[in-house]
Amino acid sequence: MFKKFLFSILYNGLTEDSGLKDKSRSAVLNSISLISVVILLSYAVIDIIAKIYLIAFITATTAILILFAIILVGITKRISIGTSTVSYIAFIFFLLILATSREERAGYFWIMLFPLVSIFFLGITHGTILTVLFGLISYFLIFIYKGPADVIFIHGMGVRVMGAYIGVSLFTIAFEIIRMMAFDQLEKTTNDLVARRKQTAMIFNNVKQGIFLLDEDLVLSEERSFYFNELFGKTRINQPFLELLKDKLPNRDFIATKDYLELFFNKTVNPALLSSINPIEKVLITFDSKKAEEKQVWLEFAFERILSKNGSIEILGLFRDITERVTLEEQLIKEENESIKNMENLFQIIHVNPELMEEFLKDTSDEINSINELLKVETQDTRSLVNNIFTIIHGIKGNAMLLGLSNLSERLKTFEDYLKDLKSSTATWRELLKLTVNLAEIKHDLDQINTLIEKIISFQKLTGENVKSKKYIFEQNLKKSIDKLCKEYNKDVILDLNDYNIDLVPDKYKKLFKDSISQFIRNSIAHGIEDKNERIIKNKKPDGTIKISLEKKDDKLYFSFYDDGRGLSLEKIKKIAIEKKGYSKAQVENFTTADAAKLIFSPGFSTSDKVDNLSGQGIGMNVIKTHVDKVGGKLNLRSSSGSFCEFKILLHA
Amino acid sequence: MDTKYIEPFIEATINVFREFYKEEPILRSPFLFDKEENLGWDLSAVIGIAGETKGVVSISFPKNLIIQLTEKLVGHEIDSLNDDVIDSTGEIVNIIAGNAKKGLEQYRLVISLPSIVEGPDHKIAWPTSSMPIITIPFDTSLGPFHLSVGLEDIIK
Repeated sequence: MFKKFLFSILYNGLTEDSGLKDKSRSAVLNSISLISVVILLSYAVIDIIAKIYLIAFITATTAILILFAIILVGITKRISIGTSTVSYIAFIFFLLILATSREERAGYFWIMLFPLVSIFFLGITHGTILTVLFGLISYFLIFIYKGPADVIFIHGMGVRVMGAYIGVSLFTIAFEIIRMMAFDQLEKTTNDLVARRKQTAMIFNNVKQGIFLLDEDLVLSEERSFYFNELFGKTRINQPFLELLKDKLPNRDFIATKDYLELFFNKTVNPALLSSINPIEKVLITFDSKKAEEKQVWLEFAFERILSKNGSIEILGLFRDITERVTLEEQLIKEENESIKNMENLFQIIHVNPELMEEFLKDTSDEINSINELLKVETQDTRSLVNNIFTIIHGIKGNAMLLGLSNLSERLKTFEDYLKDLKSSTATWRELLKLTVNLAEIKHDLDQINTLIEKIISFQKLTGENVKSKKYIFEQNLKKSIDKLCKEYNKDVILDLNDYNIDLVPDKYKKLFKDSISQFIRNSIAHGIEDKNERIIKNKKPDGTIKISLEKKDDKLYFSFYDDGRGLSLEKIKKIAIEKKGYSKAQVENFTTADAAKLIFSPGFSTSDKVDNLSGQGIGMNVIKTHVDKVGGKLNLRSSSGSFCEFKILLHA
Repeated sequence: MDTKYIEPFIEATINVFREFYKEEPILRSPFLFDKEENLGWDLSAVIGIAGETKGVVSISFPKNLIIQLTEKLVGHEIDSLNDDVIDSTGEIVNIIAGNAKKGLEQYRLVISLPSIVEGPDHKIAWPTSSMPIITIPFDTSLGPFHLSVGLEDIIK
């Protein structure tokens, strides 16, 4: 408090940005003024007591003048007011003393002070002029006026005083010049330092990195980046660094960091090794662990050993926030793993027969649910529970292996092994928990496979109907052979397979269906369906239609092959019967459609006029009939002359 | 497969029940919880987990059990699921969370304060459909309750 008061008096009149020169000037000005005021006032009091009223008045006025000037300086903040006032007062006052002093010659001593006061306060130019002027007046007062008449003047003394005055003046000028130069230099250096300091502060305040120094006791130095304080909050002076970290990292990381930082003071450990074993190169730091809302930041720390010239070691520490990067990396790795797994699954899935796959997924999902139901039942007998689960999982694993789902079967194998160990004793809750988690994983894998299959299906739907499905392939093949035949016979045919459910064809009938359909198609295009012109004349659609259908009722399969061609021509059949089969005219006279059909299916019958590699060889229909008879089916023919012909096959499913 | 995040919650539950409700909960075999399933919950305390794994832990009680447990705790009769029950359950579950945190210290996890869900036969909207929920049934002398866990990294 007292110190503060003293300083405010000492630096009276200074502003915040006053330079060093002003500072020194103000300190001297204020102290000298104050001392002189005190001295002058006490002289005034002494003079009043001695009843020398004039002198008392002059002294008191001077003191008040000085005081007034100082107060003015304080108000206006202009030191020059004070310095000039004091200088001019000294000018008058010292000369007055020189003029009035008696035998003691007090003035001789006082005038020595003047060069100091004026040059110091008013600067070289102003001060020197005043000093010279003061010297001239003093010369006049000493040698010409010689003081009061009744006081003896000693000439030699006057000469010495003037000599001393000149000496003091010259010395003061020289001193002031040196002082000013020194001040200028100092000011320049200071300004430079301040500017640099400002730049450093700017960097430290704005850099988004923690920058700090640690001494040999791992105590934080005061100089560090603002970002450090922003993250770690307020720290005390001489804050040990490790103390700051303690609650913010997992304990194992903390201990590792402590050991690591201590290594820096071992000079035999090389820097490359140090930077490679940094335990907190990438670390998750939790701030404000006591509040509910916590902030977690991934930081990347780096430390550097700094060797001082005197051999002491400090550590430069750096950290930056890499939360965003780490989060992205984690996500990427996760997605990559997932997609690798998906690719593997996909590869395995596409090698599995779709029906088997579907069956497997459904069964397995049921099994998993049944395991879950087992878990829900309260039981003390975990051994039999585990045993039951083991049996189910073993079954699923067998199926998965059979289907070549190696990812899934590997997982199931691990689970199976776990259960095998568990079977031997009563399971603890930890083991049961692991069991359930295992189950969750398998369920998750199955879900993923299901999702994949759904994706494939939706992909298929998007890219076109039934891409690569059985029926699609069948239809394409059929269309190809129809097109070929159509070109040959110059016919146009549309194929209708809407009611043909290819999935109903059992393996044992595959060849029968394949042979029959190709025979019927040949038959239709060669004989049944008319060419465009004929169809138009007959008032039919220009393109002929072939419709193949297959349905299942109870345990019977109903196959139908229909064309809207000219149907069976009884006349033609009768003719051929006579020509090729040796029937008599009378025999064929009463032929019914049924008789005609029978004839068609007999060996060596063909209605075609010419024989080629496709039809008219008269063997096709008979082969079908034989095949159908062999498997215990029935082959029927329905036809209306001029409008359609339909072959029907009835089979046991 | 990882049960390391779940186990501390189970241990904490057993410990806190022993200390505060003077109950010895017996753990039954955990099962996979179907999100549509109704296990007769009337009061649930839900804790959110964030950090190296994310998800939800919930402790769910039927009405009668939690009322009787709270009666044991406060020492007077309670006739309905009133604020006393809700507040004290929130506190207890908060203690369980705090206790579990000790066992989870080595992992980088943030555990939220519990939120209380109330309502007869309520369901909880669990995060993301692909995350399996594992329900751990406990038996007390006054009836059963469930601890359910849905965490991202339980399955690998």
